[in-house]
Amino acid sequence: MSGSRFEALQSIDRRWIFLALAVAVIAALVVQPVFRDSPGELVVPIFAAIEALAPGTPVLISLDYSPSSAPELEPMAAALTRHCLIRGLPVTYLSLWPTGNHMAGRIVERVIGPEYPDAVEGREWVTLGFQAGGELLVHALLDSLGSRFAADVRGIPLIEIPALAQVTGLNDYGIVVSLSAGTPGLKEWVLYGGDVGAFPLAGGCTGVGAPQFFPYYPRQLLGLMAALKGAAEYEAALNDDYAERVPRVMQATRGMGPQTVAHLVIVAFILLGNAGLFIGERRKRGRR
Amino acid sequence: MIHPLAVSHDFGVWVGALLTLMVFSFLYRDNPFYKFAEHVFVGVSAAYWMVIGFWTTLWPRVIVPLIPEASRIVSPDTPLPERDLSAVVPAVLGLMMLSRLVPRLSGLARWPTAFVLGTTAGYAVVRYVRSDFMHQIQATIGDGVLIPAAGGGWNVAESLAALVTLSGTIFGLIYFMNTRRGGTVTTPAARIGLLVLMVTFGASFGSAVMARISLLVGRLQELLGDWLGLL
Repeated sequence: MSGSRFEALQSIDRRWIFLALAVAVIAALVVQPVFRDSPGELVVPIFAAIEALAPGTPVLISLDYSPSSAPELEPMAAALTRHCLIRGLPVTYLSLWPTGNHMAGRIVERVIGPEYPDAVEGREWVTLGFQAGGELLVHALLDSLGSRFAADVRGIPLIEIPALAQVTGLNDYGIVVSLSAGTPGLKEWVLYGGDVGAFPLAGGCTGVGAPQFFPYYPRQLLGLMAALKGAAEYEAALNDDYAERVPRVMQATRGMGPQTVAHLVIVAFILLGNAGLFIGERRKRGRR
Repeated sequence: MIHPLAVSHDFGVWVGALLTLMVFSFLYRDNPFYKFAEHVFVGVSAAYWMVIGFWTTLWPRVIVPLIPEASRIVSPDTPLPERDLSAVVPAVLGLMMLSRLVPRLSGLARWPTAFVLGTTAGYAVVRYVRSDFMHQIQATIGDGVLIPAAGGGWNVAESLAALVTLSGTIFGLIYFMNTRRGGTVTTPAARIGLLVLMVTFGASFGSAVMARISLLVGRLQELLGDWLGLL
């Protein structure tokens, strides 16, 4: 290989890289390799906290994301929902994002409906939906859900909903989990909710946002599911304890196969580019 | 394993799939299909926000409190809520915000803008000092660097992690204090701080790449699964 070819390795047209990534991911989706995860240090506390709740204790899941980040965060919402329904913990869905109602609808349609046909809306779960206000909404909910939500998304007054029978404000929840793709989201829940209130707060976030939230663990966040990997770890914990009652391979675990293959392709291109640089430089020096 | 081709008959799935392909086409080069998808996205997003904003904020917080009879339009059987004239304040502030559309009155928009910025800043500063400053200092140095193990002695792994966190924070701060304009690092400690920052940025970048790949996997799952029925 001549020196110019090594130099060419450093300037591969980005479109070849995109094509290689697309082919690798499609091949992995077709072959469906499964890489089993094990629950990590940041995920175990969330799973353990939900395990420790007495049946009937309400759990709040704040779906602070939109369809653009659903591939990362929806598996977390699905896994948490499965865990809560198996344990008999009524789930409240709300959202700081206008797209939250739709996101809650997808969980009902894709998880609760097919997997838990006996679950009843209002008893096993309730969707309060979106309310504007961001951090001010979180602050207002500390004392009273009713101050900002008169009814659930069906128009049923909160007082008539069995899933909220034990709930006045956020402090009545056994745990609050914010699944966050940006602002307002987990940061607002930490600053205006968890650090002020007396309820355990956990989070799930996209890979882009994860570095921002790691410093909050463990003092300000009970645990953190970071990106698809965090969701896959939660699914692994569910599979370890409830293998009979959850699908064998869930959404995030299925996604980790193509994810791993894509990472290998990226690493290969990085190595190739660096090899081109070092060998090219050495040959140039040799010529001098 | 791969299933036989079974293309979806759902109109919504087709729209989603075609728009996805139009957006992906930008990876080759800018083109009219991408531009079309981009404009559709912006238009639909704006319309969605407007509708959601009207029905979750303007209607229940301004219109119904000021004109309770309006609630009968949506739910004729529910009892009329009490009139709440305090909703006049946000209504007037909102209208003042819209005055930017009329050049002669645009100065009025400064009042609601100042109100929003002032209250938000005043409210946020307390929380940020407490959560992002005091609590973070406490988390960095609160337990020291020698973490006791449950069975006696020291937990070596956790102690090492605490040491790296503390020293990384200190060296990172030194980097910002001992760097001249133009990025010249002046002391060995600042050079270590620079290394800490580079490792942090590298980890953040890796995390961002992982997130983007997850989104790619999600879109391809929908294309191959929901649209073509191959998965």
